Amino acid sequence: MLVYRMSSTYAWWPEVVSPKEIDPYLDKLFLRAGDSQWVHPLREAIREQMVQQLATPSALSSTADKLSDPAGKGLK
Amino acid sequence: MDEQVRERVQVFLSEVKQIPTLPDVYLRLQKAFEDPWLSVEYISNIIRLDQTLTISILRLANSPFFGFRKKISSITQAVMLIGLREVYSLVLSISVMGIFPLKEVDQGNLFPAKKLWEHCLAVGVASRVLGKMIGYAQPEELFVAGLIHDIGKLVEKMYLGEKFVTVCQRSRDEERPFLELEEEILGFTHAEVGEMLAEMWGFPALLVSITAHHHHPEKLTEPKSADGAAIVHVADALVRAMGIGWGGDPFVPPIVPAALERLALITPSSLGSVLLKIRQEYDTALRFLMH
Ligand SMILES: [Fe+2]
Repeated sequence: MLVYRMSSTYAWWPEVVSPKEIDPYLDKLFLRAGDSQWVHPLREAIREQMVQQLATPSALSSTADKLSDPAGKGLK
Repeated sequence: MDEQVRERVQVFLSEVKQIPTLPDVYLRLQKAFEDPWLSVEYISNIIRLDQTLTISILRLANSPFFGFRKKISSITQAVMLIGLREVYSLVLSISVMGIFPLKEVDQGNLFPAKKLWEHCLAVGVASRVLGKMIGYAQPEELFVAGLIHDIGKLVEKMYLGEKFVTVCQRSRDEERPFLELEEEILGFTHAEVGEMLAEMWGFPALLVSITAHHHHPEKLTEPKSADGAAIVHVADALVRAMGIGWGGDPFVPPIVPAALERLALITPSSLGSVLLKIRQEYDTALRFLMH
């Protein structure tokens, strides 16, 4: 099985490092999300959690941190 | 599934020399479940023959991820306490997880199996969270359903070769959904490949139809599978929004309105807390499934 290292440094959206990057990131993420009832609230919920993560990185940090991909940036 | 599409998928799968197989114990268990006289003893005996599986089941059954409250120390006890269906779901989950080639090298890989695995695991977790929220009868089945929903992508990745790379590259370069490029380049999608695999593996009908319809849950009418497909469909969108794993492209897919009608018990304003719940359970799952 895959080996995961436990730590508290794993960020959920590692590609977003400053508040001004949030909207461009969300624009791209939701580019093809259509206009169903949940799209707006989902986007807002994600934005709120991103803001929170940037303000207090530990608030949302996960316990999992990938060994081979510590920043979680594998595909970007 | 359209006949022409079925034929194309059949051609693809017939060229695959070695379709990933599930462990013997799963197949034996599946046969046993067809027997109307199946007993706890009989099922326990089949599982006990496989020591690795026995250990995995006990480990999972006692983990906070499944959270069955009572300490479970034997397979017979597991079967009695958590129920035959749930044990079956556990065995199926463990068997499916074994198929993912998690040790492959990631460098220069447009679609690492590990990232797909994270996506599938998170969709399994999210589906179970959503299922519990709307009172779905067997939420553990939703976990398995989420876990296998994109299994077609894994098999495409393993056996389509250059064509799969082209789908990934064009999806990236043209900023278009993976699904759209599968249709255009392959003439079929992972949903159809997954459907046929699930049939070949003899998965329960519910799982076959959820896998087949996770992008078009509105096409199902039978309540249990329609709810299940709607849940996995929505879970897929949530997980992509959360940035977990990789499903082939960086986009949140459109959510079908019919799916949201089936999830009407979940209010859009509660989405923030739903996401946090998924996050928390995903962390727990990682901690207990990967070691
Ligand atoms: Fe999919």
